[in-house]
Amino acid sequence: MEEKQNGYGIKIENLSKNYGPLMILNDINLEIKPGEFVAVVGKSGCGKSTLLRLVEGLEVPSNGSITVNGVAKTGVDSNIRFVFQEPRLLPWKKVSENVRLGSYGHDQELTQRALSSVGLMDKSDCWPHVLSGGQRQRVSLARALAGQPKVLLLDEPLGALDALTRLDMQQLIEKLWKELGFTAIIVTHDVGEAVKLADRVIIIDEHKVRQDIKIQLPRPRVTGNDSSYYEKIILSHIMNEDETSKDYSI
Amino acid sequence: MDWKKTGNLLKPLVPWLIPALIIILWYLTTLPGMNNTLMPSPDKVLIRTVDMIGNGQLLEYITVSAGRAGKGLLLGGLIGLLLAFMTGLNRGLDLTLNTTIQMLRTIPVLAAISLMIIWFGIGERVKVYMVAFGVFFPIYINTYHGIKTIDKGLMEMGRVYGLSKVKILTEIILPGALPSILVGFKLSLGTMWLLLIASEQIATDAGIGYMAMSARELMQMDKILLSIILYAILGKLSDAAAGFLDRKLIRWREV
Repeated sequence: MEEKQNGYGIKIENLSKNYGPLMILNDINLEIKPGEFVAVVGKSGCGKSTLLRLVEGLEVPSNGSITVNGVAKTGVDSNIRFVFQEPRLLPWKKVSENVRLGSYGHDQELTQRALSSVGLMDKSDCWPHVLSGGQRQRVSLARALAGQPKVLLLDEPLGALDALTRLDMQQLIEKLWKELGFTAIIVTHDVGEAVKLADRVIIIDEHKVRQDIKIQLPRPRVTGNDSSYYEKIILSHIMNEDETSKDYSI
Repeated sequence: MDWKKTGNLLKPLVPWLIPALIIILWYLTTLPGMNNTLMPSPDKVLIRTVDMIGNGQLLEYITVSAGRAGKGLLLGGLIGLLLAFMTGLNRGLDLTLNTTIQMLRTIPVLAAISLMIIWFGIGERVKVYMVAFGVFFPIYINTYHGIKTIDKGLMEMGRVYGLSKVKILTEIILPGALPSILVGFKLSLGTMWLLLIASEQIATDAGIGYMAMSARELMQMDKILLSIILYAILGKLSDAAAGFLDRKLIRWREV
């Protein structure tokens, strides 16, 4: 359908982030290969969203560095696009105008292509408020893809959607990732989602990378014994600390 | 007979039922034998109206009054908008100016009349300034509020998508604050007429206020009533204009 563009590799070295005395991330080291799909999971408040915002350039590291495609990261740039948990569409712009914001030079053709890739060509002339939650998130995905990014960052993009819409969206994200070849990092609290989509699942706990697990399952993945095996491992790593340090007895 | 159809046809008439009833009651109280000397009959007011249209006085007064109101609205509105954008967008200016402006707001505008007369005399200027002073606050406060309450997520989105500062202003802040600005505009129309009436009572030789003043001295009840009706019509018209603006400018809103 389209020419395959290659994603950028990302190298994170000794990355730390703190707000005053409040430690968010401590000495993170990660290497993400071009075109890889990585999921970051962890308990809420573990700093996984901050990691994503650092890679985007929305936050400045307190320490350490992020290198994208061999170049040190200094700020927001158009090669790395971000899908927020909420769609964040401009309510006063029609769907196509919202998507066009994301394309280079507000290009009409890229806009149309992005909209059709998420299957919303027929909604291009609608106001955002008439769309369903899933459709709005698809528009925001189209907006991110319209600029043909090399890296796509997704911050719990499906967290607010119902289960069926979420399955739909997971398939769509996987399909677009395969077609376009960008590097993808998704932050999620849904372990099943992480196992379904990612090549690697990174577990963050206590401000650090606790585990880095390769998911060796053939795609397209279906939920079954193999995936539950991974889900169990990942969950046990996330919950591990609770079981040992907290006393539930009365 | 299709009742639903007739119902739909009659619907626009319903809001006018009570005004019509009031006019009928008014007429009844002024019938001969009702012992009413303080209220002129509707037909007297009507005759006076036709009379004043004929000699061009009515049009002249309306033009003069509307001119004062318009000038004041423009002056006060523009200053309000400008200041609100300055304090809304710049933290330093917000810190230095906003408290002062919010403090001034608590002064009843009518209390400043004496001061204004001393400063600006009783000429044309003082009327425009008074309207401007009253109009300024609703526009300033609502614009400021509109800018301050814009979704920070949208601003961040703008940053991620590489929008320039100008683009963020024109594509996110301005349309985001527009509903609030229009609310301020609507409120300011109310204060505009109020202050116009007050200022036209000071000393004038033209305008609707002058008409009412001079009529009072001559006990021309029909003229006084006519001026009140004129204010009501002008108020209603400006309200309709604001509503029209609202619908034209904010088509994207959820209904």
